[in-house]
Amino acid sequence: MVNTEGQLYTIEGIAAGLIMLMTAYIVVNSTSVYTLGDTHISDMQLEVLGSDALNLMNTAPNSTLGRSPLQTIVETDDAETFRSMFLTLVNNRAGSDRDHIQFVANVTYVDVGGSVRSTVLSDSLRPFVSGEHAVRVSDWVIVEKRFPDCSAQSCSGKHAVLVEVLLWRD
Amino acid sequence: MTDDSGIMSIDFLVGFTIFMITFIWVATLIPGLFIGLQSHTIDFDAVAYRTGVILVEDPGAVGPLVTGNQPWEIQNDKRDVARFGLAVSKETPRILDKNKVNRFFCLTAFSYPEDYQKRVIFGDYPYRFNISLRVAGEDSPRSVGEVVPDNYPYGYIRRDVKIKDSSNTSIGKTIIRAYGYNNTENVTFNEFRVVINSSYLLTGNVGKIDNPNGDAAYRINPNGDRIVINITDLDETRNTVAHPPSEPYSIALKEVKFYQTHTGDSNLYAFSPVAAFENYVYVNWGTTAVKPPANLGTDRNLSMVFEPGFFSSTDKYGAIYINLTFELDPKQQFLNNTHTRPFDYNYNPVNVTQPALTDAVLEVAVW
Repeated sequence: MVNTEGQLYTIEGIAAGLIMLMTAYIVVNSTSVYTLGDTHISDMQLEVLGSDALNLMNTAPNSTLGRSPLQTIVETDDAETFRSMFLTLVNNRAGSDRDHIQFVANVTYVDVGGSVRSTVLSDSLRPFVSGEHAVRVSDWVIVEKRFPDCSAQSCSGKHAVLVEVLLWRD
Repeated sequence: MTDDSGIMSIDFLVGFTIFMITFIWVATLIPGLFIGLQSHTIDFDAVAYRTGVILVEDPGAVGPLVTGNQPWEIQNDKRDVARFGLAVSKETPRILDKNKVNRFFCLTAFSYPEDYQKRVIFGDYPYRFNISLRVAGEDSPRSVGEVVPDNYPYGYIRRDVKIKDSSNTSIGKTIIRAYGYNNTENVTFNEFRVVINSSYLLTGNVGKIDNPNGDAAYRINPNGDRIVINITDLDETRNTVAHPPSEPYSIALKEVKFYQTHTGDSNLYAFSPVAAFENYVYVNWGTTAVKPPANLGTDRNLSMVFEPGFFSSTDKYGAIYINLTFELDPKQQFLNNTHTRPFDYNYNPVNVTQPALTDAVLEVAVW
């Protein structure tokens, strides 16, 4: 008894409703739903790792040397050493497998005119496009270096620069 | 237009939809009612993070019955350990002390899970956990706890750290010649003295480190660190023209005496090592420690390994003197510094191999 009044047969309707509910139930149960509230956990883990790695690179290996590897890297613009050291530190795990963290690092300093400038220090050879969910870590480093747009009187000699690293998981 | 033909109307669909929306909305509120009962399922990450911070950034604590300023890792009774913490000091997060690490992962000293639960995990819920540490250069990671589950959610944190190794010295021919440590007279008993100036080591400048808060990472702490004194090239100090190696001779470490000075008092006060530490001499790179006296025969090398806690009873603002007496037959020139100054165990890299920092990674998993 089909007509055009927008009616639904009872049994089919209930059956269709149950199937939809079952489907929704199975879908919700079979995957962990990643809500916005959960992102802070992986952000926090990445941030802790990044600041650990940067801080350890800025620690002298012994008191005789008295200089950290990061100081030398910034002074000599050694992108390759920064890349290998940083990736080794952040991707190392207690087990035999390794993590897949990528990064871009900048050095920020104050130039001769008093304005803040940044240069790229190193990256993990994986371009940073805006889609990644990246976190930022930073550490102050005391360096003895004359940056390109510095005069002998301003930002040369011993001074502080900020090393910032953006890191994300592949 | 009602009839009995088994069809439902739009009104019913609208009503059913409103019912379902309300039902789903109420259903989403229900888990919130049980948060108090089920909190362990959502705070694994928080517990892992907290455990990581305690281990990496805290030096640990001893119980209220421990007198003096003694660290937890040299306590013999585990009841005196209130909280584990592997950091060298609270000013140096991420720099772990090797002695603390060794003690923490010693499963004969502490048992999983109860000893670790109340000293580093905390909380009423009986969490299960795994704490692993991989040190660069070591074959396999150190681990405490259960195997991390594959098919079960768990909280996780990973921390990059450095491990502070202990210092050591090798008194070989370079040092012996530079400081003139051989006697020019033929005597039977030759005395060699080493001074460990605790006051200077604990409060003085450390090498080229100019950060007053960061220097704990490189400091030599005689009260808590392992101190290793190797004496090599003993033959070099003999007069081999007067007594060629082909002639029979014997060397014995007759005795080792310990003295200390106190703050503002330069008199020497003798003390003896406690029974647990009385075997500390290794002859010719042997693996078994012996208690002096020790017969060296014609061996050239001697090591003294003072385990953490050996000097824990000494005054931290005084100095420790170690006097070694060698007996030679026949009497002859030998290692002897009674005519000059004692060998100083200090921050000079020529005298002492300074504590070095090794990379490591610490992982905490909680479920």
